[in-house]
Amino acid sequence: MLNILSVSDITAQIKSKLENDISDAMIRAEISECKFHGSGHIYMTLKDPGAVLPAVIWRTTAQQLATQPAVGMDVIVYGRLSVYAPHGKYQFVIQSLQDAGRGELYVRYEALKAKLLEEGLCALERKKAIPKYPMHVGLVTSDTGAALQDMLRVFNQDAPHVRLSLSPARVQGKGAAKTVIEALEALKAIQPDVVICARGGGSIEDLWEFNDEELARYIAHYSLPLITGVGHETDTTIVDLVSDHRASTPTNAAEMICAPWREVRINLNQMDYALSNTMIRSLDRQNDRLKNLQRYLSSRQLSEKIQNIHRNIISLLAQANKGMSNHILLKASRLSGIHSTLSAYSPVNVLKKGYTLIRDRNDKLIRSVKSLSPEDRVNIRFHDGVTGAIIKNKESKGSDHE
Amino acid sequence: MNKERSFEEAMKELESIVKKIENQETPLEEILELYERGSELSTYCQDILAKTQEKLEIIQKQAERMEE
Repeated sequence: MLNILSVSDITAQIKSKLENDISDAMIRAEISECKFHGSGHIYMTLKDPGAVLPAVIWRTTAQQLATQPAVGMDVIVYGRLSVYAPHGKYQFVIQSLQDAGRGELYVRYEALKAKLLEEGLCALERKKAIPKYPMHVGLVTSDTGAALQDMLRVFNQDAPHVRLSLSPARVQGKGAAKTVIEALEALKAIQPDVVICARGGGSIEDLWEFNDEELARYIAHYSLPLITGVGHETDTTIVDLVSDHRASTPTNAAEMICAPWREVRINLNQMDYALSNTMIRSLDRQNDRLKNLQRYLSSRQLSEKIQNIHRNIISLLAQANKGMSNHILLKASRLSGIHSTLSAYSPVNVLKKGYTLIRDRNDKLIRSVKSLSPEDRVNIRFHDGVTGAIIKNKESKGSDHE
Repeated sequence: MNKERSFEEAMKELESIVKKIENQETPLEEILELYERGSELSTYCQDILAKTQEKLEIIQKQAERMEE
Protein backbone atom coordinates (compact mmCIF):
# COMPACT_ATOMS: atom_id res chain seq x y z
CA MET A 1 0.00 0.00 0.00
CA LEU A 2 1.44 3.30 -1.04
CA ASN A 3 2.06 6.08 1.41
CA ILE A 4 0.51 9.39 0.67
CA LEU A 5 3.28 11.95 0.29
CA SER A 6 3.33 15.70 0.44
CA VAL A 7 4.72 17.73 -2.47
CA SER A 8 7.69 18.57 -0.25
CA ASP A 9 8.26 14.87 0.49
CA ILE A 10 8.24 13.83 -3.15
CA THR A 11 10.36 16.82 -4.12
CA ALA A 12 12.88 15.88 -1.44
CA GLN A 13 13.01 12.38 -2.98
CA ILE A 14 13.43 13.81 -6.47
CA LYS A 15 16.16 16.16 -5.25
CA SER A 16 18.02 13.42 -3.43
CA LYS A 17 17.78 11.01 -6.35
CA LEU A 18 18.78 13.42 -9.09
CA GLU A 19 21.53 15.12 -7.13
CA ASN A 20 23.06 11.81 -6.13
CA ASP A 21 22.83 10.28 -9.57
CA ILE A 22 24.08 13.31 -11.51
CA SER A 23 26.79 14.67 -9.27
CA ASP A 24 29.62 14.38 -11.74
CA ALA A 25 28.84 14.98 -15.42
CA MET A 26 30.53 16.41 -18.48
CA ILE A 27 28.32 17.85 -21.18
CA ARG A 28 28.96 19.20 -24.67
CA ALA A 29 26.45 21.88 -25.60
CA GLU A 30 25.76 25.14 -27.34
CA ILE A 31 24.97 28.16 -25.16
CA SER A 32 21.59 29.47 -26.31
CA GLU A 33 20.99 32.05 -23.57
CA CYS A 34 23.47 33.69 -21.24
CA LYS A 35 22.68 36.29 -18.56
CA PHE A 36 25.27 37.90 -16.34
CA HIS A 37 23.35 38.68 -13.15
CA GLY A 38 24.25 41.67 -10.98
CA SER A 39 25.06 39.30 -8.14
CA GLY A 40 27.91 37.84 -10.18
CA HIS A 41 26.13 34.59 -11.02
CA ILE A 42 25.75 33.63 -14.67
CA TYR A 43 22.50 32.02 -15.77
CA MET A 44 22.37 30.25 -19.08
CA THR A 45 20.56 27.72 -21.21
CA LEU A 46 22.48 24.85 -22.76
CA LYS A 47 20.99 23.15 -25.79
CA ASP A 48 21.45 20.73 -28.59
CA PRO A 49 18.97 19.92 -31.37
CA GLY A 50 16.93 17.63 -29.10
CA ALA A 51 16.84 19.26 -25.66
CA VAL A 52 17.50 22.27 -23.45
CA LEU A 53 19.05 22.35 -19.97
CA PRO A 54 19.01 25.34 -17.61
CA ALA A 55 22.41 25.96 -16.08
CA VAL A 56 24.12 28.31 -13.66
CA ILE A 57 27.65 29.35 -12.85
CA TRP A 58 27.87 30.62 -9.31
CA ARG A 59 29.79 33.81 -8.68
CA THR A 60 32.85 32.19 -7.08
CA THR A 61 33.26 29.86 -10.07
CA ALA A 62 32.50 32.65 -12.53
CA GLN A 63 35.36 34.73 -11.15
CA GLN A 64 37.86 32.00 -11.96
CA LEU A 65 36.77 31.18 -15.51
CA ALA A 66 39.54 31.35 -18.13
CA THR A 67 36.96 31.33 -20.91
CA GLN A 68 34.02 33.75 -20.78
CA PRO A 69 30.78 32.12 -21.95
CA ALA A 70 28.77 33.75 -24.72
CA VAL A 71 25.63 32.96 -26.67
CA GLY A 72 26.26 30.59 -29.55
CA MET A 73 29.50 29.26 -28.05
CA ASP A 74 30.19 25.56 -28.35
CA VAL A 75 31.31 24.45 -24.88
CA ILE A 76 32.21 21.48 -22.77
CA VAL A 77 31.00 21.95 -19.17
CA TYR A 78 31.60 19.94 -16.06
CA GLY A 79 29.37 19.98 -12.98
CA ARG A 80 26.37 18.50 -11.14
CA LEU A 81 22.61 18.65 -11.18
CA SER A 82 20.77 20.69 -8.57
CA VAL A 83 17.04 20.73 -7.74
CA TYR A 84 15.46 23.94 -6.43
CA ALA A 85 12.39 22.76 -4.48
CA PRO A 86 10.52 26.10 -4.07
CA HIS A 87 10.25 26.43 -7.87
CA GLY A 88 10.07 22.76 -8.73
CA LYS A 89 12.95 23.24 -11.16
CA TYR A 90 16.27 21.63 -11.81
CA GLN A 91 19.40 23.22 -13.21
CA PHE A 92 22.95 22.18 -13.97
CA VAL A 93 25.55 23.79 -11.72
CA ILE A 94 28.65 24.38 -13.83
CA GLN A 95 32.00 23.95 -12.07
CA SER A 96 34.21 24.37 -15.09
CA LEU A 97 33.69 25.50 -18.63
CA GLN A 98 35.91 25.17 -21.67
CA ASP A 99 35.60 26.27 -25.24
CA ALA A 100 34.90 23.14 -27.28
CA GLY A 101 36.99 24.88 -29.98
CA ARG A 102 39.90 23.27 -28.16
CA GLY A 103 38.79 20.12 -29.82
CA GLU A 104 39.11 21.92 -33.08
CA LEU A 105 42.66 23.06 -32.14
CA TYR A 106 43.54 19.47 -31.50
CA VAL A 107 42.22 18.48 -34.89
CA ARG A 108 44.27 21.26 -36.51
CA TYR A 109 47.40 20.19 -34.59
CA GLU A 110 47.05 16.61 -35.79
CA ALA A 111 46.46 17.73 -39.37
CA LEU A 112 49.58 19.94 -39.45
CA LYS A 113 51.66 17.22 -37.81
CA ALA A 114 50.56 14.70 -40.43
CA LYS A 115 51.36 17.16 -43.21
CA LEU A 116 54.88 17.95 -41.94
CA LEU A 117 55.61 14.28 -41.35
CA GLU A 118 54.56 13.45 -44.86
CA GLU A 119 56.84 16.18 -46.25
CA GLY A 120 59.70 14.64 -44.31
CA LEU A 121 60.38 17.81 -42.29
CA CYS A 122 60.51 15.82 -39.04
CA ALA A 123 62.86 13.15 -40.41
CA LEU A 124 65.78 12.12 -38.22
CA GLU A 125 68.35 12.54 -41.01
CA ARG A 126 67.40 16.22 -41.26
CA LYS A 127 68.31 16.86 -37.65
CA LYS A 128 71.61 18.66 -37.03
CA ALA A 129 73.96 17.39 -34.33
CA ILE A 130 73.96 19.40 -31.12
CA PRO A 131 77.60 20.44 -30.43
CA LYS A 132 79.05 18.79 -27.36
CA TYR A 133 81.00 21.74 -25.98
CA PRO A 134 79.28 24.91 -27.18
CA MET A 135 81.06 28.08 -26.04
CA HIS A 136 78.25 30.36 -27.15
CA VAL A 137 74.52 29.66 -26.80
CA GLY A 138 71.67 31.72 -28.27
CA LEU A 139 68.42 31.88 -26.30
CA VAL A 140 65.05 32.71 -27.83
CA THR A 141 62.38 33.28 -25.20
CA SER A 142 60.56 36.05 -23.37
CA ASP A 143 62.95 38.38 -21.54
CA THR A 144 60.47 38.54 -18.65
CA GLY A 145 59.45 34.88 -18.43
CA ALA A 146 60.26 32.20 -15.89
CA ALA A 147 61.80 30.07 -18.66
CA LEU A 148 64.72 32.51 -19.00
CA GLN A 149 65.35 32.52 -15.25
CA ASP A 150 65.20 28.71 -15.13
CA MET A 151 67.79 28.43 -17.90
CA LEU A 152 70.08 31.09 -16.45
CA ARG A 153 70.09 29.23 -13.14
CA VAL A 154 71.36 26.05 -14.83
CA PHE A 155 74.01 27.87 -16.88
CA ASN A 156 75.27 29.85 -13.89
CA GLN A 157 75.61 26.71 -11.86
CA ASP A 158 77.10 24.24 -14.35
CA ALA A 159 78.66 26.23 -17.18
CA PRO A 160 79.25 29.85 -16.14
CA HIS A 161 81.95 30.16 -18.81
CA VAL A 162 79.48 29.74 -21.67
CA ARG A 163 78.57 32.97 -23.44
CA LEU A 164 74.80 33.53 -23.61
CA SER A 165 72.99 35.75 -26.11
CA LEU A 166 69.30 36.41 -25.56
CA SER A 167 67.19 37.25 -28.57
CA PRO A 168 63.86 38.18 -26.96
CA ALA A 169 60.51 37.10 -28.42
CA ARG A 170 56.91 37.07 -27.37
CA VAL A 171 56.00 33.50 -26.53
CA GLN A 172 52.24 33.78 -26.11
CA GLY A 173 49.25 35.35 -27.83
CA LYS A 174 48.43 36.03 -31.45
CA GLY A 175 51.47 36.98 -33.52
CA ALA A 176 53.98 35.48 -31.06
CA ALA A 177 55.16 32.92 -33.64
CA LYS A 178 56.22 35.78 -35.91
CA THR A 179 58.32 37.36 -33.15
CA VAL A 180 59.97 33.99 -32.52
CA ILE A 181 60.92 33.78 -36.20
CA GLU A 182 62.38 37.30 -36.04
CA ALA A 183 64.33 36.47 -32.89
CA LEU A 184 65.75 33.29 -34.45
CA GLU A 185 66.65 35.26 -37.59
CA ALA A 186 68.49 37.90 -35.51
CA LEU A 187 70.72 35.20 -33.99
CA LYS A 188 72.05 34.24 -37.42
CA ALA A 189 74.07 37.45 -37.44
CA ILE A 190 76.12 36.39 -34.40
CA GLN A 191 76.23 32.64 -35.15
CA PRO A 192 76.06 31.01 -31.71
CA ASP A 193 77.14 27.34 -31.59
CA VAL A 194 73.61 26.26 -30.65
CA VAL A 195 70.22 27.90 -30.04
CA ILE A 196 67.58 27.12 -27.41
CA CYS A 197 64.01 28.20 -28.15
CA ALA A 198 62.05 27.91 -24.92
CA ARG A 199 58.81 28.72 -23.18
CA GLY A 200 57.50 27.68 -19.77
CA GLY A 201 54.38 25.66 -19.11
CA GLY A 202 50.85 26.85 -19.85
CA SER A 203 47.48 25.83 -21.25
CA ILE A 204 47.19 24.52 -24.79
CA GLU A 205 46.01 27.99 -25.82
CA ASP A 206 49.11 29.57 -24.26
CA LEU A 207 51.40 27.21 -26.16
CA TRP A 208 49.41 27.39 -29.36
CA GLU A 209 51.75 29.76 -31.20
CA PHE A 210 54.36 26.99 -31.13
CA ASN A 211 52.04 24.98 -33.36
CA ASP A 212 52.18 27.64 -36.06
CA GLU A 213 52.85 26.30 -39.52
CA GLU A 214 55.04 29.18 -40.68
CA LEU A 215 57.21 28.92 -37.55
CA ALA A 216 57.45 25.14 -37.98
CA ARG A 217 58.63 25.49 -41.56
CA TYR A 218 61.12 28.20 -40.60
CA ILE A 219 62.59 26.01 -37.86
CA ALA A 220 62.79 22.95 -40.11
CA HIS A 221 65.08 24.94 -42.42
CA TYR A 222 66.97 26.87 -39.71
CA SER A 223 70.73 26.89 -40.26
CA LEU A 224 71.89 26.69 -36.62
CA PRO A 225 71.49 23.62 -34.36
CA LEU A 226 68.27 24.20 -32.40
CA ILE A 227 66.86 22.73 -29.19
CA THR A 228 63.22 23.41 -28.29
CA GLY A 229 61.96 23.31 -24.72
CA VAL A 230 58.29 24.28 -24.72
CA GLY A 231 55.82 23.72 -21.89
CA HIS A 232 55.90 20.82 -19.47
CA GLU A 233 57.14 17.24 -19.93
CA THR A 234 53.80 16.12 -21.36
CA ASP A 235 53.44 18.89 -23.95
CA THR A 236 54.65 18.23 -27.46
CA THR A 237 54.23 21.07 -29.88
CA ILE A 238 54.79 21.15 -33.63
CA VAL A 239 58.10 23.01 -33.24
CA ASP A 240 59.37 20.12 -31.07
CA LEU A 241 58.82 17.80 -34.03
CA VAL A 242 60.87 19.87 -36.49
CA SER A 243 63.66 21.10 -34.21
CA ASP A 244 66.98 19.25 -33.96
CA HIS A 245 66.31 18.17 -30.41
CA ARG A 246 63.22 18.31 -28.22
CA ALA A 247 63.85 19.00 -24.54
CA SER A 248 60.90 18.50 -22.21
CA THR A 249 61.20 21.89 -20.47
CA PRO A 250 63.39 25.02 -20.66
CA THR A 251 65.39 23.74 -17.67
CA ASN A 252 65.89 20.41 -19.39
CA ALA A 253 67.15 22.16 -22.55
CA ALA A 254 69.76 24.08 -20.54
CA GLU A 255 70.78 20.91 -18.70
CA MET A 256 71.29 19.11 -21.97
CA ILE A 257 73.88 21.75 -22.95
CA CYS A 258 75.51 21.85 -19.52
CA ALA A 259 75.79 18.12 -18.80
CA PRO A 260 78.85 17.50 -21.05
CA TRP A 261 80.52 20.56 -19.54
CA ARG A 262 79.92 19.25 -16.03
CA GLU A 263 81.38 15.90 -17.07
CA VAL A 264 84.42 17.44 -18.73
CA ARG A 265 85.41 19.19 -15.49
CA ILE A 266 85.61 15.80 -13.80
CA ASN A 267 87.48 14.17 -16.72
CA LEU A 268 90.00 16.96 -16.82
CA ASN A 269 90.78 16.51 -13.13
CA GLN A 270 91.23 12.78 -13.64
CA MET A 271 93.55 13.23 -16.59
CA ASP A 272 95.57 15.80 -14.72
CA TYR A 273 95.99 13.29 -11.94
CA ALA A 274 96.93 10.50 -14.36
CA LEU A 275 99.46 12.78 -16.00
CA SER A 276 101.45 13.41 -12.84
CA ASN A 277 100.88 9.96 -11.39
CA THR A 278 102.32 8.21 -14.44
CA MET A 279 105.17 10.71 -14.39
CA ILE A 280 106.08 9.54 -10.92
CA ARG A 281 105.90 5.89 -11.91
CA SER A 282 108.07 6.35 -14.97
CA LEU A 283 110.62 8.30 -12.92
CA ASP A 284 110.63 5.40 -10.48
CA ARG A 285 111.30 2.98 -13.30
CA GLN A 286 114.18 5.10 -14.51
CA ASN A 287 115.52 5.19 -10.97
CA ASP A 288 115.50 1.39 -10.82
CA ARG A 289 117.31 1.18 -14.11
CA LEU A 290 119.94 3.57 -12.84
CA LYS A 291 120.46 1.51 -9.69
CA ASN A 292 121.01 -1.61 -11.78
CA LEU A 293 123.36 0.29 -13.98
CA GLN A 294 125.23 1.54 -10.93
CA ARG A 295 125.80 -1.98 -9.65
CA TYR A 296 127.05 -2.97 -13.05
CA LEU A 297 129.31 0.06 -13.38
CA SER A 298 130.80 -0.01 -9.87
CA SER A 299 131.85 -3.60 -10.33
CA ARG A 300 134.01 -2.30 -13.10
CA GLN A 301 135.41 0.45 -10.89
CA LEU A 302 134.49 3.32 -13.05
CA SER A 303 135.56 6.85 -12.58
CA GLU A 304 134.36 9.21 -9.88
CA LYS A 305 132.82 11.43 -12.51
CA ILE A 306 130.21 8.90 -13.58
CA GLN A 307 129.35 8.21 -9.96
CA ASN A 308 128.79 11.91 -9.44
CA ILE A 309 126.49 12.11 -12.39
CA HIS A 310 124.63 9.16 -11.03
CA ARG A 311 124.22 10.74 -7.60
CA ASN A 312 122.95 13.93 -9.16
CA ILE A 313 120.33 12.07 -11.14
CA ILE A 314 119.22 10.08 -8.10
CA SER A 315 118.81 13.19 -6.02
CA LEU A 316 116.93 14.87 -8.84
CA LEU A 317 114.60 11.92 -9.09
CA ALA A 318 114.11 11.76 -5.34
CA GLN A 319 113.34 15.43 -5.31
CA ALA A 320 110.91 14.97 -8.18
CA ASN A 321 109.26 12.03 -6.45
CA LYS A 322 108.77 13.93 -3.25
CA GLY A 323 107.37 16.91 -5.08
CA MET A 324 105.05 14.73 -7.06
CA SER A 325 103.62 13.02 -3.98
CA ASN A 326 102.99 16.32 -2.30
CA HIS A 327 101.49 17.52 -5.49
CA ILE A 328 98.98 14.69 -5.62
CA LEU A 329 97.89 15.39 -2.07
CA LEU A 330 97.37 18.97 -3.09
CA LYS A 331 95.35 17.96 -6.08
CA ALA A 332 92.87 16.10 -3.97
CA SER A 333 91.90 19.31 -2.31
CA ARG A 334 92.35 21.91 -4.99
CA LEU A 335 93.01 21.42 -8.63
CA SER A 336 94.22 24.83 -9.59
CA GLY A 337 97.24 24.64 -7.34
CA ILE A 338 98.58 21.80 -9.38
CA HIS A 339 100.19 23.50 -12.27
CA SER A 340 102.71 25.56 -10.40
CA THR A 341 103.92 22.52 -8.49
CA LEU A 342 104.19 20.49 -11.62
CA SER A 343 106.14 23.08 -13.47
CA ALA A 344 109.02 22.53 -11.08
CA TYR A 345 109.51 19.20 -12.79
CA SER A 346 109.16 20.33 -16.34
CA PRO A 347 111.95 19.29 -18.67
CA VAL A 348 113.12 22.88 -18.81
CA ASN A 349 113.94 22.75 -15.14
CA VAL A 350 115.68 19.44 -15.54
CA LEU A 351 117.82 21.12 -18.16
CA LYS A 352 118.51 23.97 -15.76
CA LYS A 353 120.27 21.51 -13.53
CA GLY A 354 122.91 21.27 -16.20
CA TYR A 355 121.65 18.41 -18.30
CA THR A 356 121.30 18.79 -22.03
CA LEU A 357 119.44 17.00 -24.76
CA ILE A 358 121.48 16.25 -27.88
CA ARG A 359 119.74 15.69 -31.17
CA ASP A 360 121.02 14.88 -34.63
CA ARG A 361 120.18 16.85 -37.74
CA ASN A 362 116.84 15.05 -38.06
CA ASP A 363 115.99 16.14 -34.54
CA LYS A 364 116.31 12.58 -33.34
CA LEU A 365 117.47 12.26 -29.77
CA ILE A 366 120.97 10.77 -29.39
CA ARG A 367 121.11 8.20 -26.62
CA SER A 368 124.48 6.63 -27.27
CA VAL A 369 127.88 7.67 -28.37
CA LYS A 370 127.69 4.72 -30.72
CA SER A 371 125.29 6.56 -32.98
CA LEU A 372 127.79 9.38 -33.49
CA SER A 373 130.72 9.68 -35.85
CA PRO A 374 133.34 12.40 -36.11
CA GLU A 375 132.19 15.45 -38.12
CA ASP A 376 128.49 14.76 -37.29
CA ARG A 377 126.50 17.89 -36.77
CA VAL A 378 124.32 17.91 -33.68
CA ASN A 379 122.05 20.29 -31.77
CA ILE A 380 122.48 20.66 -28.03
CA ARG A 381 119.42 21.83 -26.11
CA PHE A 382 120.19 23.77 -22.94
CA HIS A 383 117.49 25.12 -20.67
CA ASP A 384 117.86 28.52 -22.26
CA GLY A 385 118.36 27.65 -25.88
CA VAL A 386 119.84 25.43 -28.54
CA THR A 387 123.31 25.46 -30.03
CA GLY A 388 124.86 23.56 -32.89
CA ALA A 389 128.02 21.53 -32.52
CA ILE A 390 130.27 19.27 -34.51
CA ILE A 391 131.63 16.01 -33.10
CA LYS A 392 135.42 16.03 -33.09
CA ASN A 393 136.22 12.60 -31.81
CA LYS A 394 134.59 9.93 -29.74
CA GLU A 395 135.49 7.55 -27.00
CA SER A 396 133.62 4.42 -26.04
CA LYS A 397 132.93 3.28 -22.48
CA GLY A 398 135.89 1.72 -20.78
CA SER A 399 138.46 4.09 -22.23
CA ASP A 400 140.07 6.82 -20.13
CA HIS A 401 138.01 9.70 -18.88
CA GLU A 402 139.45 13.04 -18.02
CA MET B 1 82.84 27.54 -33.36
CA ASN B 2 86.61 27.75 -33.52
CA LYS B 3 87.08 27.93 -29.81
CA GLU B 4 84.64 25.09 -29.26
CA ARG B 5 86.56 22.89 -31.67
CA SER B 6 89.88 23.80 -30.12
CA PHE B 7 88.59 22.87 -26.67
CA GLU B 8 87.47 19.48 -27.93
CA GLU B 9 90.78 18.98 -29.74
CA ALA B 10 92.75 19.94 -26.64
CA MET B 11 90.80 17.38 -24.61
CA LYS B 12 91.47 14.70 -27.23
CA GLU B 13 95.19 15.46 -27.38
CA LEU B 14 95.38 15.41 -23.60
CA GLU B 15 93.72 11.99 -23.57
CA SER B 16 96.24 10.61 -26.07
CA ILE B 17 99.16 12.11 -24.12
CA VAL B 18 97.98 10.44 -20.93
CA LYS B 19 97.79 7.14 -22.84
CA LYS B 20 101.32 7.58 -24.24
CA ILE B 21 102.79 8.45 -20.86
CA GLU B 22 101.15 5.39 -19.37
CA ASN B 23 102.81 3.22 -21.99
CA GLN B 24 105.96 1.74 -20.41
CA GLU B 25 107.80 1.67 -23.73
CA THR B 26 107.89 5.46 -23.97
CA PRO B 27 111.42 6.75 -23.26
CA LEU B 28 112.00 9.20 -20.43
CA GLU B 29 112.96 12.12 -22.66
CA GLU B 30 109.72 11.78 -24.57
CA ILE B 31 107.76 11.49 -21.34
CA LEU B 32 109.23 14.77 -20.15
CA GLU B 33 108.13 16.46 -23.35
CA LEU B 34 104.70 14.84 -23.27
CA TYR B 35 104.31 15.91 -19.69
CA GLU B 36 105.15 19.49 -20.56
CA ARG B 37 102.66 19.51 -23.44
CA GLY B 38 100.02 17.77 -21.30
CA SER B 39 100.35 20.37 -18.56
CA GLU B 40 99.97 23.12 -21.14
CA LEU B 41 96.78 21.58 -22.55
CA SER B 42 95.36 20.96 -19.11
CA THR B 43 95.99 24.57 -18.15
CA TYR B 44 94.37 25.76 -21.38
CA CYS B 45 91.21 23.73 -20.69
CA GLN B 46 91.06 24.72 -17.04
CA ASP B 47 91.37 28.38 -18.00
CA ILE B 48 88.40 28.12 -20.35
CA LEU B 49 86.29 26.49 -17.63
CA ALA B 50 87.38 28.99 -15.01
CA LYS B 51 86.05 32.00 -16.91
CA THR B 52 82.67 33.40 -15.93
CA GLN B 53 80.54 35.29 -18.41
CA GLU B 54 79.40 38.32 -16.52
CA LYS B 55 76.15 39.28 -18.13
CA LEU B 56 73.54 38.24 -20.59
CA GLU B 57 73.97 39.75 -24.02
CA ILE B 58 70.69 41.01 -25.49
CA ILE B 59 70.38 40.78 -29.26
CA GLN B 60 68.35 43.43 -31.00
CA LYS B 61 66.26 42.50 -33.97
CA GLN B 62 67.21 43.82 -37.38
CA ALA B 63 64.06 45.96 -37.67
CA GLU B 64 64.61 47.65 -34.29
CA ARG B 65 68.20 48.40 -35.14
CA MET B 66 67.21 50.08 -38.39
CA GLU B 67 64.59 52.25 -36.69
CA GLU B 68 67.20 53.77 -34.45
